[in-house]
Amino acid sequence: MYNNREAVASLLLIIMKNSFDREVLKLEDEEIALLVQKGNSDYFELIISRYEDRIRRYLKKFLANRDDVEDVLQNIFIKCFVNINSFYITQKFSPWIYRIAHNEAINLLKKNLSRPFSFDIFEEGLIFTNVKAKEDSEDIAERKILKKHLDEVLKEVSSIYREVLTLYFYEEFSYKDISDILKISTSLVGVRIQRAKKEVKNILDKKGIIY
Amino acid sequence: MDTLKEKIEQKIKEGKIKMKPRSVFVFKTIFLIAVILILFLSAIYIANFVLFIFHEHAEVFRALYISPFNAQKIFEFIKIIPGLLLLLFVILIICGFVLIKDFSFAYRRSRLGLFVVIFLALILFLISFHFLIDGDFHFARFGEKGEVPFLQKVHMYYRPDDFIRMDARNLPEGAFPSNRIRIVLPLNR
Repeated sequence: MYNNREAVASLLLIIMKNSFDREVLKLEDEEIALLVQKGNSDYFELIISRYEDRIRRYLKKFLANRDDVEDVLQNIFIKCFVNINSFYITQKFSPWIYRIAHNEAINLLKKNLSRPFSFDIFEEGLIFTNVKAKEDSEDIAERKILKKHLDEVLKEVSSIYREVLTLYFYEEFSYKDISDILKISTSLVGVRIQRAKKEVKNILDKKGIIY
Repeated sequence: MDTLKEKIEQKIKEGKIKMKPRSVFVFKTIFLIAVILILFLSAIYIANFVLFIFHEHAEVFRALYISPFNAQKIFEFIKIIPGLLLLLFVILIICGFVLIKDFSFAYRRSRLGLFVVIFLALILFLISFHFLIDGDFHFARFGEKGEVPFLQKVHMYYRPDDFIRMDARNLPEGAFPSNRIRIVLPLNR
C-alpha cells in the first residue's frame, strides 16, 4: 500500500515536472530574459540551449572557423548574463544577443588585424544610392540559389560582407534585425547585402561555378 | 568534460559572474543623454558666439564692400572668421553624432541623413533662438564678465578691449582698417 502511494506520488511529480517543462519550453526568449532579470538564474540555461548552436555557427562563418570560437562563445554568454538587465522587454531578444556576439567577434578581429581606423559617417556611397530595403519574392528565390554556393566561397568574401551574408542567409534575420545587430540603417544593410551578393557572384564566376 | 552550459551554470552558482543591476544601465543612459545635451548646447553656444562676432564686425563687412579690392582686404576678411571656433563647432557636432548613433532612433536612419538633420536642426534652432528669444546676444555674451574664467579668455581673445572702435562711415574713401582698428556697430559693453 505504502509503495503504491510512493509510486503514485513520484508519477504525479514526473507528470507535473513534464507539464512544467512543456510550459517552460513554450516561453518566448523575451519572457525567459525577464525571468532571469527577476533573479531566476536557472532559466539562463534555456537561453544557452536555444542560442549555443546558432551563435557558434554564426561565429564559425564570420570568423572563418578560427580555433578560438569556443572561448568567444563562452564570453558571449557570460556577457549576456552580466548585462541581461540592459535588455528591455520591448526589444527582440535575438538581435540583442547577436549584437553581443557581433561585438565580441569584432573585438577578436581587431586584436589580430591592424585595420585602419575608419570613421564611416558617409559610408559606402550612400549619398547617391537608391536602395530597396525590402525583401521581395525575387530576393527569396535568389537567396535559395546563392545559399547553395555560399559555403564554398564565404571564406573568400571580405569580413564586412561575410558577416552580413551570414546573418541574412544562414541566420535568416530580416533587414530590420540586422540593422539592430550591426547598428546601421536598414538601407545600409540593403547596400551591404547587394554588394556582398555581387562579390559572391564575382568569386563564383572566377571559379567557373554556374549558379 | 563540462559542456558550455555546465561551465556557465557553475560560474553563476559560484558567484563568479553576477548580473549588473538595472540602475547601472539607467545611469549610463542618463549620463550619455547628458553628455549629448552638453555637446549640442556647447555647439549652439559656439555658433551663437560666432554670429555675435560677425555681428560686431558688421561694419567691417561694409568697409570691405566700399574699399577697393586688394590682398589686404581678403586677409582682413579671413581674420574676422574665427576658424578655430568653427572647427570646434564641427568637432562637437561630430562627437554628439557619434554618441547619438547608439540609440535605435538614430542608427536606423541613414548616417548622412541623420548628420544633415542634426546640422540643419541646430542651424534652425540657432536662427529662431536669435530672432525670437535672444536678439541682443545675451547667450553669446555669457562669460564675458568672468562668470566662467575660460570663457572670459575666449571673449578677450576674439573681442579685445584695446581695439580702437570706429564707424566705417567715418573712414576716408579707399581707406581700410589697420590691425589695431576694429570697426563695430555701437554695442553696450
